[in-house]
Amino acid sequence: MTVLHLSEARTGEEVLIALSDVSKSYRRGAQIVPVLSGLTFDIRRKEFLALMGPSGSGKSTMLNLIAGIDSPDQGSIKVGGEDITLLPEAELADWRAANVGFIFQFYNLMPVLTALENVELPLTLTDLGRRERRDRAQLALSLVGLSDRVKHLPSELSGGQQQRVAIARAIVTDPTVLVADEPTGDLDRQSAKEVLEIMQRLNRDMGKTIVMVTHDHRAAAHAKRIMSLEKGDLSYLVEQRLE
Amino acid sequence: MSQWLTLVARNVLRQRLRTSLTLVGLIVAILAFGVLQTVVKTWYAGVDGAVPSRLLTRNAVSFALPLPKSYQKRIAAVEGVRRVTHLSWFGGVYKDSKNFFPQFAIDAASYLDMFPEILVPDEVRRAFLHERRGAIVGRKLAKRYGFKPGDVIQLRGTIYPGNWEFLICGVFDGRDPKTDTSQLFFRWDYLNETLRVRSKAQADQVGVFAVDVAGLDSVADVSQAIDQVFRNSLAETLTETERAFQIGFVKQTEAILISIRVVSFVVIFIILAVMANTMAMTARERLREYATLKAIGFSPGHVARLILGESILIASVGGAVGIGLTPPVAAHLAELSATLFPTLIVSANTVMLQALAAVVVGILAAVLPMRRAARVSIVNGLRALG
Repeated sequence: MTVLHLSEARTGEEVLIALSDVSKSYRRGAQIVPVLSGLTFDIRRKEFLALMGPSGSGKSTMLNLIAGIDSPDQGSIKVGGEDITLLPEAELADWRAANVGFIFQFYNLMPVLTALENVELPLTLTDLGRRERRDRAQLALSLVGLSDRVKHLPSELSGGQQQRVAIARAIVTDPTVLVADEPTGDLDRQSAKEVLEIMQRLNRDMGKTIVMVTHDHRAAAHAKRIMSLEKGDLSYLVEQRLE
Repeated sequence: MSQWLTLVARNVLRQRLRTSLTLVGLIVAILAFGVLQTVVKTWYAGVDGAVPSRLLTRNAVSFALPLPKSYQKRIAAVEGVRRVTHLSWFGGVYKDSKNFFPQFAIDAASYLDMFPEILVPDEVRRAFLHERRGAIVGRKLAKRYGFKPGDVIQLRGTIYPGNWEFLICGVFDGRDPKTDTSQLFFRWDYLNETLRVRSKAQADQVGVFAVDVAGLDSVADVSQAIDQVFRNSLAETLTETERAFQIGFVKQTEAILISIRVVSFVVIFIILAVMANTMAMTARERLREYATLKAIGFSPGHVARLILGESILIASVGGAVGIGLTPPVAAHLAELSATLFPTLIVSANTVMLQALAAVVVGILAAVLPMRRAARVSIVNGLRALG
């Protein structure tokens, strides 16, 4: 078991996400397969963290736990001081709506909604009026350079454009943390570069905390810090400063 | 809310072929349900339209057996009876046995007085009362066979032997759409005089006496009193209200009616299965979308309502079109069925049943997919193929 206390290592920087003794296993038939065991580490606010590791190492599981879409078998996960493992399902959904922006490998846009409507979707859970929702969605789309594609359906956009719409949807509620699961896994090199540059900009200019799972070293290189998981343990840590 | 409706409406149109086929199925099912319910209701139309102060006196053994005409005076003498008339089922064949329509021999003047729902113009009534071979035909019957005043038609007797000629004196209408205008009435005295020559044993007899009672309160007493008069006679009577008589008549075909009712509900059950299958396929295909919605903060209830909304929207559109098509299809069926269904009028009750069936189908079809989509874990849902 590897225990890393980065907040101690980098004093003076606020811890946003704190995993403490987190374990997770899955049942496969009669077999119980451990994925994460006793994981403890922190993620600082405004960090851009890349999680790497081979398939089955547990990096997506860790991302799901941080995002509150899966629950650990044991341990606690505190985000902004709140232990999300203690939240009941309904409150957890509200928490995700307010605090987490998701970027998926296959974009996961609603195919029947336009780019603008897709971005507006998370805002329908808020008390905002229709006009303000539209304005915010348009602003988010302009931040990812898609102001001219607002009325396009996902099927009318390239993969890179769809992922940028997904990023706009992820940031439109101004969440505490962005989680990205292989965000460039389905993109060509140029589109991947554009998407990663947007994510970098969101982290650098807007102070968004980003946790990204990736297989791609080129993608990971855009992060400020890279961590690698091996069989459920954080085996080593690469820290990288981008200037 | 508007975004939710947008999503529901656009999801409905996503698999156009599938949605269209489901809609066609729904329309046909709701239409068939409505028409079958209307057929059953029409069968009971005589029961619904029965006049409470009218009694019918028939042979106690069976209404197929006649009663002596001489009973009329004795019935009229019973206290509480205002007037009496009679009618006899003729059962003749017009040209071909497939040309079925009801024909009754009546005591013209008293019958038309006692059955005001049969609207006969004055000049037609006068001609009918004047012409011994005269007959009047209902509007629908006249239209079907092209009968016009002055036509002479011939019926071949099945109960009463020989060929019978009638002179059409005119056409009658119904006071309301439920009145059967597919009938032919002719004069009993013509029938009786001919029978005295051709078949003496059948003469001086009638099928049923219709009795008009002075007050509604005395209907039961009058009914008993009439039967008491003929107790222990050669032809004992059974007197009942028009409604009870009609129910007794309908009861003979009750098994058919029950079958039709069952079929109408089976049709709804089949479309429920089809619709449930459609919604299950839809929900299965969109599991990843539902997981995505849940991931970004939508509750399981939100997702469930999305499926429910889609199902109810399809069911409502299908139901509305099915309901809209029912009256013209029923009318056309009534035309095609000639005199079997004089009228097929879709009642408000049937429309409500159709609407209810559509909504219930919409809700029930969504139950399992809703449950599945609401319960699937986000992680598993995101792994599902889109």
